[in-house]
Amino acid sequence: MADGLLQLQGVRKHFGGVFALRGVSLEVREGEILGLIGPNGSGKSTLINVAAGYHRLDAGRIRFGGADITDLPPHRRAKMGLARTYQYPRPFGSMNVRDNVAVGALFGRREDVGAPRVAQRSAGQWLELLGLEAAAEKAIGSLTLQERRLLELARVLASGPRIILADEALAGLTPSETERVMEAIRRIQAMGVALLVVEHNVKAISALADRVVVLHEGKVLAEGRPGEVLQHERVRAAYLGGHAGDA
Amino acid sequence: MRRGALWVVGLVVAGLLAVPTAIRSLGLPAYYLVFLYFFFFWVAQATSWNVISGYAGYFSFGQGAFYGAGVYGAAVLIDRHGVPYGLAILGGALAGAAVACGIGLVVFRLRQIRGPVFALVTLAVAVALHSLVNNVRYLDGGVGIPLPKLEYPWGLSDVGFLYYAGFLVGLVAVGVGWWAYRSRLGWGLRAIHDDERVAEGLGVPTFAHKMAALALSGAVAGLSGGVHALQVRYVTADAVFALRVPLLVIMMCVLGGRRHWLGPVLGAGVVHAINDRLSGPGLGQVSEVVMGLLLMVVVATLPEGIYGRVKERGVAAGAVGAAVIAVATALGTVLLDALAIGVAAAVILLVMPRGVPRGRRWGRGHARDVEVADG
Repeated sequence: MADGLLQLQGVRKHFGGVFALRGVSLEVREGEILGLIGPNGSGKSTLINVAAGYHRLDAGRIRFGGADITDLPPHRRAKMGLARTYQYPRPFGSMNVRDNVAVGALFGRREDVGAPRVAQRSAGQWLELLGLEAAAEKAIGSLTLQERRLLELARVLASGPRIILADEALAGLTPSETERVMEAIRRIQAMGVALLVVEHNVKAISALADRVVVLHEGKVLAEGRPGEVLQHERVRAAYLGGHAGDA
Repeated sequence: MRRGALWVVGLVVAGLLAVPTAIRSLGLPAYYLVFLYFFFFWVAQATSWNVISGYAGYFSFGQGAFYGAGVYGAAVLIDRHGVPYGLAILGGALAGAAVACGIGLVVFRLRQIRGPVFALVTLAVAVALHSLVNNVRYLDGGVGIPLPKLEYPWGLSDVGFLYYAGFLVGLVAVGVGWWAYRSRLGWGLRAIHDDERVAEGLGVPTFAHKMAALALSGAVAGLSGGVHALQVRYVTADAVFALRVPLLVIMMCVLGGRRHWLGPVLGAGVVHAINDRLSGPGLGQVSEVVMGLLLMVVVATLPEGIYGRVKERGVAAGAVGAAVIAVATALGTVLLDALAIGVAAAVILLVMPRGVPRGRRWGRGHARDVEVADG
């Protein structure tokens, strides 16, 4: 396997009698967007949780930036630049938008943000980058779903990540909202940040990802460029129902 | 801290330092100092509770354990080992911190101990400590520890010394609460309060933060307990580990506001002033009813406690309170009674509802804005 930024090697995870990951190996390279697709229950969210350190592995190793992080807790991984967003946005409800982003800046990888006031000031640039500056002082309860998804991205971006694991960052959005979040993801990639994007929207992932990995029943079914992978016969049969372009 | 705020703090500190002299000069009874000592005591205990339970959201019923460790730590050091009372008070702080760290090292390792389970575990520790103290002769053995009459410096009387010691501990407690609120620690604790899992994923070292908060909470409660041992002079386990302390500090913080350092100070002031004035003439049960009603109103209508309203009505409430105190005093009411009446008037103004905002409809929301637990 070529040297990747994030490498999962033979990762296995089960919950009781359910085998969520059955020896998954994949890598995310520096600065790329890797799309992770697969039917419901294929193990995508488990893979994100495992990579972020929320689940302990049954077997396998995880390497990040050349270091073995298999046994590190989530906060240590975040400090190294491994950040994640959630399938359903989970902002800190008692804080406004700016302070949510400030938490990312304060506890993440950036060493130039040591004090809360500095973190609050620095939050502005990330909100501006993602077009959320007008919502900076808003309470969380007043945000739309699109704003919440952008806030999740701004919050992890503020932490100075080398990679973002984005769990269904486009779910539930209208086409125009999807386009805006995709644009935000491209902007993040342009900053040199790699992304592992879990997504059901195959059209969006085809347009966004440099490479795609297809998970099926806890195993990697196919891997490669989006155009090639989505034409793969087993992928169409397992996931797309034989009509890749319609999905 | 802004210069204006520094001036206010300086004036308040200078004013409180001058109170004993002023009381002596005005010929007022020494009970005024006792009243203020207890205010400082409750400020320290409530602020201590708030650091772990308000900021981080780990609701604790174990305040009695930290406070009790402080009381007994100081009492045992003075009575059994002849340690000077200054060091014994610091020993009380260490004892409170040690109990807190002991609890934290066990429960924070087990992620499932949160919410009601955490509250019950802390209560169980307090009950266990009560039993331990009652049954171990070195600690108490069920007979209590009488403390000798101590000599205080600069010719201070018992009451005078306890006033200054209580004031210093209250000041330290508020300083700790203020620092913890504004520091990285406080930001991390608030993130833990809102969503611990997300906080951890953003780099907040949740175990270390919770341990630090619990240790600070235990140390402040123990410090205050150490001074209180000198106040009660005869320490008994049944009194120290009674549920009164944990229940009152919870009430004070919920009433005052749990998400800001000023909340416990406000709550302690309101509860202590009303409680003291009603309990004195034998109206303790009336006091409980009043507090219960007030708590119900605040819980139902003011999730941020009265601190949330102080931001918008603080000046008006202060003016009304001061006017009521002035009028009541002019009519011949005892100053402390007038103070309690003024506090009650200010609180009524603070908790009065704004009225139902126009356009608000119950039961309507935006389905897309509803948060759903992560799958």
